[in-house]
Amino acid sequence: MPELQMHEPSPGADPVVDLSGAPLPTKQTLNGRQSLLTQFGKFIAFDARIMRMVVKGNKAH
Amino acid sequence: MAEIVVLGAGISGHTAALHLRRLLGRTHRVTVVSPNSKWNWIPSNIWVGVGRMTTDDVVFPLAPVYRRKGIDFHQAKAVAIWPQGDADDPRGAVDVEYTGPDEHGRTARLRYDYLINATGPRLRFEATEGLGPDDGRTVSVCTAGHATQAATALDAVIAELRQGRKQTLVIGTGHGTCTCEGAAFEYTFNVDHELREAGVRDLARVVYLSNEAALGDFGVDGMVFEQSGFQTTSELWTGSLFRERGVEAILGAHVSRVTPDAIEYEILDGSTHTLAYDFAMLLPPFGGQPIKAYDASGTDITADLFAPSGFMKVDADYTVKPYEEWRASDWPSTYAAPGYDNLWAVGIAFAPPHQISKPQKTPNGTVIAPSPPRTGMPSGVMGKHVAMTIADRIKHGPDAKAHEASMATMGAACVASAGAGLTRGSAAAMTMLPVVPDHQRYPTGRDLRETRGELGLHGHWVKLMLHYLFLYKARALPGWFLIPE
Ligand SMILES: Cc1cc2nc3c(=O)[nH]c(=O)nc-3n(C[C@H](O)[C@H](O)[C@H](O)COP(=O)(O)OP(=O)(O)OC[C@H]3O[C@@H](n4cnc5c(N)ncnc54)[C@H](O)[C@@H]3O)c2cc1C
Repeated sequence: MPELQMHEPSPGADPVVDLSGAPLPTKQTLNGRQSLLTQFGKFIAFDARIMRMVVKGNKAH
Repeated sequence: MAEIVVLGAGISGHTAALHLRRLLGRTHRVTVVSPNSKWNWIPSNIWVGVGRMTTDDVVFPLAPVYRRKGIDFHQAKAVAIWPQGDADDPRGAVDVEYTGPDEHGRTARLRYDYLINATGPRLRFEATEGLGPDDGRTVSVCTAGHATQAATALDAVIAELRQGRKQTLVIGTGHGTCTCEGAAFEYTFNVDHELREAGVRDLARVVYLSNEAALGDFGVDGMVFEQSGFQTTSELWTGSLFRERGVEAILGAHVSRVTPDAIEYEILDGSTHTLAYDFAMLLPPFGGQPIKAYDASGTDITADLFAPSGFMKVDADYTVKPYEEWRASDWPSTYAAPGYDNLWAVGIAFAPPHQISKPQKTPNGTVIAPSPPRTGMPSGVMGKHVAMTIADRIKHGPDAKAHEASMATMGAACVASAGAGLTRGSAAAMTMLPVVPDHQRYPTGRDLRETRGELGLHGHWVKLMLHYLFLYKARALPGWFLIPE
């Protein structure tokens, strides 16, 4: 079931999703998303996860 | 000597051909048939579509690579398959029509011992009136050429915005049965990023118009992630990005017509709407390539080999059943065509047993059902596994066991760029395992340790790294096979 609601379509208006319930990132989160150091760590972790998935995927058969 | 013919030189076919060449000695012939002379790293078309890359950055000519590797290349399109041979020869055959400048229109019948159909999607712009860059009014990023046109159109809109004129940019899916929503999502946020970089975002209305019933569905029924000790959904996570970037979303939409100034669409509750636009990038629905099939006597058996969508039937369970009864085991694992032990379809060319997301109908009977995506990573893996099956059968006899690569066991990484730039870029980096949820095996359908979604600069680096790695691999440069699919 979708958790985010559609606006009630009023005549002529576009039925856009009401995003007021979606969490907004804090300033700290936004900074973290652009921080070179934090992001380098995440880059390594993401690459490791892809490699693990490749190995798991191959083992599955 | 065995003759192996690969139809298509995209992600799955090219991968299969290179591995076949690596696994088999030069006594066996590997032939690739493809209408395009160039290979295209399609995921980077997104960056061509916003003018960050040029066509030359995302394509390279295939002929020199195939010459170097000892692979025969026919610049041609397959038009018919004779899986049981014909009156002259019991070996299978494929009819091709040449498309290169020197031989345009010439036809030939190529014999094969093993055939891989990796012909990808036919872009069905004609499914919606007014859709597409050629005969319609919308742009596309499905090919490098389309993406170049999209970048030009985007430039024109930015020029209008610079003049202080408000503009509405609509990005999404151009039909209720489209797939590849991830590509529309990435293009949306790349456009948003470019508008910000140009300093004109405040005058632009950016609307994501999609057939997905919920944000973050991506045609894979959404994802559940574990984050900071809680389970969260791709819907909430994606909604956060839309809210942060001020992108409006209209969901569960089937676009019925695109006129010069408005997009007409119907949503799941059956209501119909029109959305005025200045720029629209809407993806087309996909179908299989128009390839016929004949038995040895020349009787048309196209309907036996291909599903009505034009995709080739393989070892999937095509029994029609309701969503609640869909199982991971319905999905194919060897990609062999039923009744043939020397014919396979991989990548987008195989017919999926059903959607992954729940298909829906509006009260007016309009089908709004995202088709299952077959992204790059699984497509490459399928190509490699079928190549290994063929190599084993040639080396060890026809009983050699087929290699399996089901989308219900393999994972996929999906890196949706949200803006380019080495220090200012961003991307939604997602991994999921398996691609097709398996609710019998995992309570949330997927392995929570491997199913993750994160936003940030690192995602942009991953996408850029994949761009260079896969172009390197596709060029078959030294050590290419060490780079996983
Ligand atoms: C804009 C966009 C962005 C994307 N981004 C991503 C992403 O970030 N990550 C990801 O994993 N996936 C992404 N994808 C999906 C990915 O591109 C596909 O999964 C992948 O290309 C499928 O590979 P394929 O070999 O099945 O088809 P294709 O790569 O399309 O190759 C098909 C080949 O068949 C050839 N062909 C066509 N007709 C014939 C014929 N009659 N006879 C012979 N050959 C024929 C074509 O010329 C082509 O060479 C994206 C797709 C799009 C459209």
